[in-house]
Amino acid sequence: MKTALILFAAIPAFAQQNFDFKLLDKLGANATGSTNITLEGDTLKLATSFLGDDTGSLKNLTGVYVRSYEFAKAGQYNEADLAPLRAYLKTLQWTKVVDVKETDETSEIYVHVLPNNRLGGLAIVSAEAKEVTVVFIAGALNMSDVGKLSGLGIPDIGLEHGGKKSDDSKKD
Amino acid sequence: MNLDDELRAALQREPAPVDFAAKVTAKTRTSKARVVPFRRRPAALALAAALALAALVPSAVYQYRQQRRAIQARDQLIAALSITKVQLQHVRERIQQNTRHKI
Amino acid sequence: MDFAQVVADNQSMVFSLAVRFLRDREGAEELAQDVFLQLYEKLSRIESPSHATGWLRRAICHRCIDEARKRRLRPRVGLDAVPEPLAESRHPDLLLNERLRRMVAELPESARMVVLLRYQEDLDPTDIAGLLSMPISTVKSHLHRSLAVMRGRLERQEICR
Repeated sequence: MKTALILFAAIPAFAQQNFDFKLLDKLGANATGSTNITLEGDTLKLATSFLGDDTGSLKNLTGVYVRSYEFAKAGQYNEADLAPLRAYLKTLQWTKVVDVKETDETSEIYVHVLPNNRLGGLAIVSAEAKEVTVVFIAGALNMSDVGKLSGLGIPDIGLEHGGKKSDDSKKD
Repeated sequence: MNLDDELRAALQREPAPVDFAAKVTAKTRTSKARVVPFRRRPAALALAAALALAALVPSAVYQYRQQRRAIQARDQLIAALSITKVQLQHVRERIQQNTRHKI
Repeated sequence: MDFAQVVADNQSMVFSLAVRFLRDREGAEELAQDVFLQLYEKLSRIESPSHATGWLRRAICHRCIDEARKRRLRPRVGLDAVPEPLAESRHPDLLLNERLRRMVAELPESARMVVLLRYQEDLDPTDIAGLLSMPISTVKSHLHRSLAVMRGRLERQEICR
C-alpha cells in the first residue's frame, strides 16, 4: 500500500501565518482509513510533560499535526491538493534537504534553520499511490538534540551535521 | 502478507500457568478472613465515610479527567512521533538504496 | 455463582491480556490473580458468567494500563531503533509471530490495548470503545495508526533481509 506522507515543520510565531490544515481535508475525501492528530497550546504542553522528556528537547515545540489517509486503490487523491502546502513551505524560507523521486513515490524533507544551529521546524512530504500522510512539527529544536529524540520516536537522519541531499535531489 | 490474519495468529491467547487457579483459590482463603460484611460496620462510620467521599468526588473526578486528557494527548504525541520516525527511516533507506544503485 | 468455574473459564483470557500487554510474565500473573480476587470480593453482585467475563475483561484492561503507566513501560526507543533480528529462522512463522508480539508491546499503552482487544479477543471497535471508555473514532484511529506503523516496520525489515 502506498502512502503520501506530508510532514510540516514548525515556524517561529513571529515569522508568518499558520498553515490552514483544512486545506488538506480534500486529500482524504476518498480515503478508506485516516489518522488525524492536532496538538498545540496547552494540550501539547500537557503531552510533552507526560512524555518524560528528560532532555527537554520537546519543550519548545508549538504544534504537532498529523494527517494520514489510506486509499483502496491508486488515483484516489489529487496531487494538486499538495500544492498549497508546497507553496506555503516556499514562502517560509524552508530549505529542502531531501528530494527523492521514483516512478510512483516522492519524498521530500524540509527544514527551517534558525540562527545558532537550531531547527525552527521539520517537514516531510512523502507521496505514494495509495496513502497520504501529513505530519507537521512546529517549534525550535537544537540540532544536537535531534539525535537524542530517538528515545522519543525521532530518528537520527544526520540533520545535526547540516543535512545532506541525496544524489537524486532536485531543486525547485 | 495479510497483517490482520498474522496478528490474530500471533496474538492467540496464551494459556495461564497450570497452577494459576490453585493460587487464586489460596488467595481467596486469605481474603475471606479479611472481608468484613458491610452490615457489621457501624452505621455512623459508614455515613461519615460516605459524606467525606461525596465531598471529595468532584475534585477527584476533575483531577481524573485532567489526567486522562493528558495521557490521551501524550499518546497522540507518541503516535505522531512514531509515524514521523517511520517515514524518515523510509526516506533514508530509499536514499541508501539509490546510492547503492548508482555505485 | 461458582467462583472456581469463573476462574477456569476466564483465566486464559485474563492472563493472556496481561502478559501480552506487560511482556512480564511474573507481573502479569500477579495482576491477573489480583483481578480475580477483586471479582471474588464482589461475587454477590455478579449476575451471570457473561457478566463475570465482561467485568474481568474490563478490570484487567484498566489494571494493565495503570500498571504500565506506573512502570513507565512505554517505549524509550522507537520501534525502528530496536535492532532488527539478523539470523534466518527455520521457522519463519514463529519468528514473525514474536516480531509482531514485540511490536504490539512497544505501542503506546492505549493503542496496545486496542490492538490486543481487537486481535486477541476479536472484539469490534464498538465493544472496545465501551470497554476502554473511549470514542469509537479514537479506537479506529489507534487501529489504523498501529497497523500503519507495524506494516511500515515489517516492510523495512523485508528490505533489509
